[in-house]
Amino acid sequence: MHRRLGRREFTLTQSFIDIAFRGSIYALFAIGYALTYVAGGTFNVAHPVSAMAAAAAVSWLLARDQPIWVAAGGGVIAGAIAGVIVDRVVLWPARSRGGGPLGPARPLIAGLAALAAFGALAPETERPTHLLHAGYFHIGGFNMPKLTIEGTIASVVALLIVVAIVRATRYGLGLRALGSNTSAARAAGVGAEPMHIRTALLASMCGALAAIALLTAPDYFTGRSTPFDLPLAGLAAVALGGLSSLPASMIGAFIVASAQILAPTADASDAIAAALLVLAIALLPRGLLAATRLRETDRG
Amino acid sequence: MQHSVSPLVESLWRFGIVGLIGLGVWIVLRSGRVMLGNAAFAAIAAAATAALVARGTADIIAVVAGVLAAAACGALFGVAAARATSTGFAIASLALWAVELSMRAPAGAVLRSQGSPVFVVIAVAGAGVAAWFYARSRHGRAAAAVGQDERAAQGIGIDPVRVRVTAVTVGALLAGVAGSLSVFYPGFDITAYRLHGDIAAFAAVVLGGAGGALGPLVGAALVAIAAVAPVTKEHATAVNAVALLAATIVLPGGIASIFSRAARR
Repeated sequence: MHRRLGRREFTLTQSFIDIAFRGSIYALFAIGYALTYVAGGTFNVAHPVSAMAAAAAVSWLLARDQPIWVAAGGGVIAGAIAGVIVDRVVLWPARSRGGGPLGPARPLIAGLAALAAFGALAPETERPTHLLHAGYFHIGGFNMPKLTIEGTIASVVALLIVVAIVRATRYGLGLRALGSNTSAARAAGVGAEPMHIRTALLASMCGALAAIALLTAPDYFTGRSTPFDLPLAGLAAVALGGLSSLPASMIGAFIVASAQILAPTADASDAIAAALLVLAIALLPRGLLAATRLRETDRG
Repeated sequence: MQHSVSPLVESLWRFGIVGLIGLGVWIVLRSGRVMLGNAAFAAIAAAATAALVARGTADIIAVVAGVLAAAACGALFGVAAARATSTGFAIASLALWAVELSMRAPAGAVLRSQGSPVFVVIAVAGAGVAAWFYARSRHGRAAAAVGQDERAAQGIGIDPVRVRVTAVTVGALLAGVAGSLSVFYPGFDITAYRLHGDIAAFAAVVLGGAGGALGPLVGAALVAIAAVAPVTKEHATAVNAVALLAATIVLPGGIASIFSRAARR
C-alpha cells in the first residue's frame, strides 16, 4: 500500500516505523507532563524548557566536534538541570504560596513566564544533518537513517525504564501515594518536596531525551515542524490519554503520532495536534483511560 | 523595526493593544480559568481585518468583521472547553498557540498601517470602564462566584458553563478589538502575537493586579512604557516574562495590592 505524504511516497511499513519513531518521542515528552502533575497536582507549563536546554546543549557540543553520544549525554544532563532549576526557582515558590487573586493559577502563570523567558533567550538549535546521512538501515524497502533508529530505540528503552521506576521502586510507591492522597502520603512519611525534586529530575530527563531524539528525525519530517511541535503533541497526548495516567499518556502519544503520519497532508501536524487537544478536552475531559489515573484530585 | 514613530505614539499603541488583550485575560481569570492563548483571538481579528483592508473594504467594516470573527472563535473555544477542569482548560488554551504560530499577514495590508493610536486608546479606556461596571453587574458577580467556588455558585442557581462561555467570548472580543485596530499600527506585525502577545497581556494583568478591572490597565501602561526601550521583540518578551515571574511569586496581588494595603492603614 502506498500513500502520499508531502512530496514523498510512503509505504505502510514506513508509516508504521514513522509512527513508532514519533509516538515514542511524544510519549517520552508527555509522561514528563504526567509525572509532574501526579507528584504535585499542578500542570507544568514550563516542561519544554528542559527540552530546549537539551537541544541547545546538543547543538553546542556537536558544534565543538564532540561525538553524538557525548552530546546526547550532555544534553540530558543540561535538560535535567534546567528542569530542577525551574521546579525549585519557579514552581516551588508559586506552589507554596496560595491565595491572592491568582489563587491556584500561580504555578501555571509562573511556568508560562519561565517558558517564555527561556524560549526568548534560548539559542537556535541545529540538527546533526551530517550524522543523519552517515549511515542507513534498509527496512521494508526504504532507507532509514541509523541515527533515527537509534533515537527510536533509546526513546522506547527510556519509556520502559520510567514505567519500571514508577511501578517497582520506592520512589514510584511514594509518587503513587502522593498522587492518590497527598495528606495521607505525607502522614505516612513521604516527603513531598524531595519527591517533587526527584520527579522534576525524572520528568526533565524524559523531556530532554525526547528533544534529542527529535533532532534525529528523518529529513522529510523537518521543514514542517515548528519549535512548538513537540510540546503541542505532548499536550495533545496527555489531553487524549489523561494527565494523571502514564500508560494513557503513552497511548495518547501514539494516537497523535498516527494522526499526523496518516494525515493526507504533511504540513498540518501542528493543526492536527491542536485539533486533537481541543477535541479531547471537549469530549473526553478525563481522558481515554480514566481508570488508570494515578492522581484522583483533578476535579477542580 | 523599520517604522519610525515617536516613543509616545508607540507607547499609546502598545498600551491599547496590551490593555485590551489583558482585560480579556482578566475577565476569564475572574471566572476561575487561565486563558494562556488569548492573543490568538487578536491574531485572528488582525488577519481578517488585514485581508479585508488589503481587498479595499472600508476600514470600519473590516474592523467590525475582524472583531466578530474573533468573538465567534472565542465562543466556539468557550463551548469546547468550558466544561473542562481548570488544568484541562489551561491545556486547551495552549492549543491556541498553534493558531498564533500559523498566522501570516496578507500582502499589501502593511501599506495601510499608518493610523493614529487615538482609536485604540479610546477603545481600551472604554473597555476598562465597561469592565469596571461588568465586575459589579449581576453577570460579573456570577463569574466571580464561579471563580471562587463553582459548586457553591451552582447551589445558588448559577450555570458555570454559561458564565465561562460568556467570559471567554467577551475576552476574545476584547482581544479582537486589539487585533483589528493593530492593523493600523505603524509597526504592525502579526507575528508579534506569537506568545509575545500572551506574555505581555499576562504581565499586564499580574503586574497591575488581578483583583480589579483597573489592574490590567495599570499593568499595560507599565508594559507599554518598558516597550519603548530599543530592544528586539525577543528581549522585550524576556523582560516581560521575568517581570511576570517576579510579580507572580513576590507580588501576586500586583501594584494594586500595594495601594489597597496603604489605603487600609
